[in-house]
Amino acid sequence: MLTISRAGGSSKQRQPISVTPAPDVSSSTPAKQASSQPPQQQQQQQQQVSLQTSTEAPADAGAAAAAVAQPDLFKVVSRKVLKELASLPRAIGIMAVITGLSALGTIIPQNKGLEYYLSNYPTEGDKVLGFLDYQLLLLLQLDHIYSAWYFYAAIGLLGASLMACTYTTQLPTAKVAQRWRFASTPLALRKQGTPQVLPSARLSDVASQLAAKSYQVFLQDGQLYAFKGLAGRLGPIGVHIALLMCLAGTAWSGFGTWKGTAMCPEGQEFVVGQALRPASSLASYPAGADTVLQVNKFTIDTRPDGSVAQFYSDLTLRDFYGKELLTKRISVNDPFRYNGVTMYQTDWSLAALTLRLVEPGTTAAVQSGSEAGSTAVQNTGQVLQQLQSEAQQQQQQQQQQPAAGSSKAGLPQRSFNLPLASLEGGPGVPMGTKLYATFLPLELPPEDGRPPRGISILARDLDTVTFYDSKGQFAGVRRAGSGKPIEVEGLGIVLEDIVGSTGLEIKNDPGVPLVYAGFGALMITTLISYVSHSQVWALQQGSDVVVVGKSNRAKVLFAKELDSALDAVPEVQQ
Amino acid sequence: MNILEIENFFGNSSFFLLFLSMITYWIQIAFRLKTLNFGRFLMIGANFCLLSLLILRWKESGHFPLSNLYESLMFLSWSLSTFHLILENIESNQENSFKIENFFLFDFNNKNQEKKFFSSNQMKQPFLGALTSPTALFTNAFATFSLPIEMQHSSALVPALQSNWLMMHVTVMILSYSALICGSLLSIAFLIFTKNLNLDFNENESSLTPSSAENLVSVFPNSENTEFFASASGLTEPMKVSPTFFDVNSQPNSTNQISSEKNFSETNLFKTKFAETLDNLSYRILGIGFPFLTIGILSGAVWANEAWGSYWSWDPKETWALATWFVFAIYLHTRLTKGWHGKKPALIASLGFIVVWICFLGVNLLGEGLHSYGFFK
Repeated sequence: MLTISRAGGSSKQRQPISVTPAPDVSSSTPAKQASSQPPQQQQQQQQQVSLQTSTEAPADAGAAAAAVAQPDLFKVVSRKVLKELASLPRAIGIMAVITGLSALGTIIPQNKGLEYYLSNYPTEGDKVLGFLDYQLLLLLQLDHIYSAWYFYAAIGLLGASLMACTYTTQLPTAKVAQRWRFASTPLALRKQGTPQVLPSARLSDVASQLAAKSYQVFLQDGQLYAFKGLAGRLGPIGVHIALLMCLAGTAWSGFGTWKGTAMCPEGQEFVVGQALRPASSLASYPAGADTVLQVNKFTIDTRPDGSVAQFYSDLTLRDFYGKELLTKRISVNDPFRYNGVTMYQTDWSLAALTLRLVEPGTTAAVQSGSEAGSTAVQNTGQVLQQLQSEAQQQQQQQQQQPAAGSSKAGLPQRSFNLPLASLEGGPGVPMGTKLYATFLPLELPPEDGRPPRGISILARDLDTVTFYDSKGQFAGVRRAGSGKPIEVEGLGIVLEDIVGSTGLEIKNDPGVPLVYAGFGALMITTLISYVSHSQVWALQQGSDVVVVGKSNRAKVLFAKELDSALDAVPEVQQ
Repeated sequence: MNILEIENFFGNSSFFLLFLSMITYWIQIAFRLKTLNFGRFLMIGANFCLLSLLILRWKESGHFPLSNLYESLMFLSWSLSTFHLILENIESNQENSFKIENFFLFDFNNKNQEKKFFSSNQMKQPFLGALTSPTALFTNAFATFSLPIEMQHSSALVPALQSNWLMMHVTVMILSYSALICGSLLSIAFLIFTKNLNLDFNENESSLTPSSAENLVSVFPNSENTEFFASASGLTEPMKVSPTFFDVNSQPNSTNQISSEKNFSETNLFKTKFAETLDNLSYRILGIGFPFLTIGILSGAVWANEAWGSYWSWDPKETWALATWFVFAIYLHTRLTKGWHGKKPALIASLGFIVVWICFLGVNLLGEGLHSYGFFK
């Protein structure tokens, strides 16, 4: 027995197999027929195929036969529904619809409030695109596409389709991929593609060549099956399961979340649970919400150029008995977590200014004398006391007014807070601008209803404020805590502090672990799916070896690889 | 020279190198020159310049250089050229075709030039380059010339971006964009290339074969190409073999018969083979872009949940990334499950090309949403 290497010119010796008459036709005829059929028929044929695929599962085969024999209505209907759902064209249609709707949601501004749509999509005059007015827009819920019923329905359908597809196609594929191995006849071989013949070759040589290319090779009774990259076949199954996990987790989030926001000034505290609202009645109250959160400090770090470097909140969480549970300084990207409740740094505002009045012309270090003072100071002091005592009367005089003792001079000894109000959205202040103002009255509100004379103070950040006199003229800028007084309208004012508020997003989302698990699985399985699953079948037919192979991804590379493997198979001379 | 001038120098050099590279590749295609390899070296130079630019900016600003549109465009330009070089390298390693000695061999007179050109897998190099170099050039030019100067300066990171997720999320996203852009460009090239080619498609060849128990994989008749072209070059007998999915020749009894011997041209055959390679190359590149896109989107979702407590908020960028994901998911399904190949998936990929650009540039230019760089204003 002589063996001759056939590397090189051997390809000319290989010929397409002729097992059945007109072999080339038989290989391509079904496809040709199908492509010349009208689409409906094509679809039917496809459904036949998918039915066949689903009956691949052994348990189903009997059931299908039974269903035909004695029509079990439920089974027939459920099978039909399953088949419909698992249909790929339908799934692709749903995906296309979701894509289109999502894109539309980025074109039409979402959740803007009625007035926006009224002015931008008028009924009269030039309608957008000639037909879209606000009535149609609101009717179609295009102002909140992502929470419209049809959007949820489309996502639900996609989920159902995913489940049906996983059940009827993906999971059986896993079974088939493991079970479906040898092709015992040339006809069976043909189903995998166009075979080629290696004359005077041994199957064992083919096997060793394939094994050298790191295929897993199985030999049995003159039949060969070899594969590599099975992960590439199983990967998509994992992708579908991972996607289902993500969808299930998102749905769980959608129903089971407690969330809310809180804007809390420094030094204040609130019960966490009071800031939270359940997303639905199915949501269970998080244990970690029965706590009290105290905001110790809110700071903004700025860079030399004035841009914000980071926002920090010092938070302390206590239980209802005052026992400290956790203290943490949080920032953006570093949230506060306790027992299922997470608090994120998402916003801020300014709550109040802490001011102190001094005699004009003195330095802040000297506490102003209580004897002398301009009339302005006395007036303001009286106004403030008046306002203060009114406020305290409203509070039913729970506390004795501490400043009352020194009221003789009309100048409050202690510093006092002036609440700040946001000017956002007001005239000349666009939305999204942080600008706060307060007013220090110099007289009691006049009887005739005109606004009282006073000092306006503006603040943009935690650093500085700007003072304006009663005529609206710029008076000066002071830095918080500098202790340097400013003289406005005959008053000496020291800005002691700017009290910030931290804006927290508070959330208990029980779906996150499942969603994250789905994310992780999806990342891994999509990557794995890139692996090309290649299979080779071969049969010993007398002295010839008939070989066919296929691959699902790197087809060109696979063809080359198989070629080079077969080229290296030695020719056997009997 | 201060650091800004060096940056400028690298930016400008990368632009000119990419421009020259594009011209070279185009000339190579136009005149069917097989052995002109300037494009590759120019591309390597551009790649180096872009990398230096990014590293300089990283050093200068102290944070990962992907904080604004300019930097992300430059990074995209760099990753496109990197992608190009990797692909080119794979090709030349396979074919052993890159030889320095025939660097200057111009073979204008050879009648077989055309045939050789298309028969060679090296054809993919100029073809790939002819697509990637103008794309890289476009992003580069857009960043350099269209963006206002103040947007080109390295800016300090807003608080929301100060996270290690920045590196992972943005890098993977831009890598996926470049892979998807490359792949869909190849699909567009495929459509243009096969437009005038007398091709007959068998697009659903295998998926409808009822006996295929898997109904999953398209059949790729593995080595008949060799057979096909072996006999084609000899022209001793009409094609008996069923070619791959493009029936250039006729099959004697097939329904879609073209009178093969008459219409048949040898060059056409090689072009067909080339088209098929183009098709599969595009499939493979999109195949790697898709998992990158998935990882990028998901890492962004995890980051968003860490930063402000919501892993999905239908921000325009997120939405368009999802749209891109869906388009390429559809593409992969038609390929893997329906066994399509050729023009139909190429059309889907071409749609994907537009969607990727909307996602990458369009949304940023709108300047709305979380991804207009920064949550806090």
